[in-house]
Amino acid sequence: MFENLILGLDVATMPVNLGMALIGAAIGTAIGVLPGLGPVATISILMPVTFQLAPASAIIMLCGIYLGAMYGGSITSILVNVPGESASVVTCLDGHQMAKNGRAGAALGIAAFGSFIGGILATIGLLLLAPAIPQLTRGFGPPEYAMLVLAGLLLVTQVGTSGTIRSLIMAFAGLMLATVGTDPISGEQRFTFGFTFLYDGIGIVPLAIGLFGVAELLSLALGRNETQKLQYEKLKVRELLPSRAEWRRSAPAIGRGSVIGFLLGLLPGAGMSLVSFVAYTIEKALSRRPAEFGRGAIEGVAGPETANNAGSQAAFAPMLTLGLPSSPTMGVIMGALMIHGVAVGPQLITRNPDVFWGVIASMLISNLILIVLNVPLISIFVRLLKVPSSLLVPLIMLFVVVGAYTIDNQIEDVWMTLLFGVVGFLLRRCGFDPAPMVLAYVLGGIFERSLRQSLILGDGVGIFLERPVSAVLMLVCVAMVLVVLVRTVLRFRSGAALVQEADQT
Amino acid sequence: MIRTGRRAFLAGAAGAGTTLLLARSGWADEFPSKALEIIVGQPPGGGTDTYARAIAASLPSFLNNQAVVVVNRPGGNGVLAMEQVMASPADGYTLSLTSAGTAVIKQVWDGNGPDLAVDMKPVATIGRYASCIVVNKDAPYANMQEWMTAVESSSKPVLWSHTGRGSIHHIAGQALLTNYELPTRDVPFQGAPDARNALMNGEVEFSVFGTQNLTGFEEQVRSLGVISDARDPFLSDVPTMAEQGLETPLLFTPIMLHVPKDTDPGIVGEIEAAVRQACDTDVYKQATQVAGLPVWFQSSADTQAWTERAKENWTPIIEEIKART
Repeated sequence: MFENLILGLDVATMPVNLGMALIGAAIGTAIGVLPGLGPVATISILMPVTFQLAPASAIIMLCGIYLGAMYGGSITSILVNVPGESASVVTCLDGHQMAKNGRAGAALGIAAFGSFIGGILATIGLLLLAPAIPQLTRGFGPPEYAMLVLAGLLLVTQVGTSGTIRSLIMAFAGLMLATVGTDPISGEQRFTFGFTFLYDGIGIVPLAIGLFGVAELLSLALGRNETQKLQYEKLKVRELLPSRAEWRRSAPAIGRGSVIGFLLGLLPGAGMSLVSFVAYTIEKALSRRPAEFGRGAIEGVAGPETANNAGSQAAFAPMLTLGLPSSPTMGVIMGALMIHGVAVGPQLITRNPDVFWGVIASMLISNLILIVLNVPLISIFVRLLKVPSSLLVPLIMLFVVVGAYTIDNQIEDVWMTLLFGVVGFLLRRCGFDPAPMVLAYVLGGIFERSLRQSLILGDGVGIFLERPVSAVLMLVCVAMVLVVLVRTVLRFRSGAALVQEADQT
Repeated sequence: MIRTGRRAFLAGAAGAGTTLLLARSGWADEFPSKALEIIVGQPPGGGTDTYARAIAASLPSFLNNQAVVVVNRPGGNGVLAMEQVMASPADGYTLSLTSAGTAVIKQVWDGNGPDLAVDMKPVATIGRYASCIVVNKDAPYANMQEWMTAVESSSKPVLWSHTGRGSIHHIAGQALLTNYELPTRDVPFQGAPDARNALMNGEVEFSVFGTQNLTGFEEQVRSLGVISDARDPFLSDVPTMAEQGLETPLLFTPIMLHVPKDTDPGIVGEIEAAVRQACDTDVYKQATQVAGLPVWFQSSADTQAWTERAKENWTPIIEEIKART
């Protein structure tokens, strides 16, 4: 392990590579902060620039952009409820509520520190485990992913503040949206109505940014804040960092988030939104104050943000050793490696040890750079909330529209974003929280594909019980359903079920 | 040798940006007098994109030193990119780079989308992809015949993975399997990495994907035969199906450059001549070699002939596969 670390650090601390990590981190943070402008577009644009660099330097810079965007993605989620990508949807839930409660600085601080700790722990995990990862994830095929995501889907109503029934309605709406586009198995078009732009389904960015960001901007602009009264003047700008009490609440969440993020990040088929969302629901389940979740609980920011960052670094292992990208961004980074003549795969560690260990060691450095870069910026970002909304709203709207367009350079994405913005605004006025919809949408696509692949592989449902890992996951799913059923029946007997529903809405 | 070539290609690609700026002040009255664009229907980093970047880096010296810029326009299985080129001015400055076999299949599979042979004008073919039958490294078969005997004697359908229904590798593989009525069942995955991983995990017995996706996995998987009319230059020890006495109705897919259909034939001829020279440069050859992509130049007329022939010969095969699945 130590010779690997030393080899990696040798590569990562070369002046040119340090410079690349710094440039990457700075660019990444910038695009993370601009809502909508995602790492995929940025890396695509910057890829030709890296052609003149050595493979290790190029990938270190792209990796810096990716990690920077992950750090930066939480900033707009917390400040203005605009998630940068699907993984930061969960951060919106409590992060933005914290901002409304005047704790924007604490939320940003805990997100940055959590990301840092999660990132460092994940990198150490990679240094220890990376060569063994192909063996570790071997047992994970379509049946396991189907059951893992099913467990996630069963928890989807745990997020959001609009009560079980409304959350269920939202979750089913999300599942239905996930069916639009090319059928993952038959390759035929479903619900596309002949529109070419729907062939790849509804984009997650238009959906998430529309339902959260544009809806929020609309309610700000129309002066109707449905959930809580936002009072910018009362923001305490001076209290920038998390208080001692907040740290105490966050520390275990950061610890758990690192572990969950690292483990789920090693599974390329699960996706980053599952990572942050599982971390959130676990924090909520373990919390002594579950009622605070969705109303500004700092654990609800610390857990998922840590997990998100730990997971996105762990995801480098399956990409480099198995050629399996876990996100579109990873796919582009993998493509960049190919253009540089570095073939990802099990042989990469022996053929290009400088690239492999250099990239992993550079993540330690990128994390250091990012924390140094981000923490001083918090005070500036928080001041952003003091900008009158008559200025702030049109400005953010501009970025949202530009960002939606740059995903694939298509104007339809802009219309979709605006459409989902109106839908999100109306939903919130009717007391529906759109979070379960976005999560069910993301998980639904993975679930459908892996479930149908499993059924073909096993020629029936038997396959889920034949394979040990999927059998265990299936038992977990059954247990989750039973627990909820038993609890509901007991509560119904005591006559409280209906009252509780009514209370929450 | 390879390394210096890659440097040259990479430097050339990066230099394209600078030339683009200089191009604005260009005053040459003949074609081209400004930068050209190649629209690619795939995200950056894939095989098609690498072809585009390689040709973009090697073309300027044969086109008045005008820059050639690659624009990625992913979505709709490449249809969005083709539609964008079709809607562009027919002045020769906007080109589409397409995997022609994929486009032919998609048109039959989806029942809509542009028709390469009619809706666009061919410039040239610059490369090609071939599919291959892949098994695990330790599988006990020396060649296709041994493998086929084993599959035929299987009591239940043999599972195989491919890169998605309606992709070139699915159709090419299924056409071969159907031809010999092998008892198999296909499991669609999204792209070669997932299909390859399912094979390595032992979830399927064999897999069909592009030859270039074997790179980096030589210790885990190996190919029994290439579905093409010639051996792959980067897999020279793997025989073709024909060499092993097998008939395959569907072969490789060419990588083609097209312009809008109303483009002046003189301009098409000029670009074709430039592409012919560019395909012969070390910059182009080495940039494609790094990614394991073969160079294959075909003239405008041959390109058109290939598309028309493929449309005619492939359509019944694709329709049959679609009806059966």
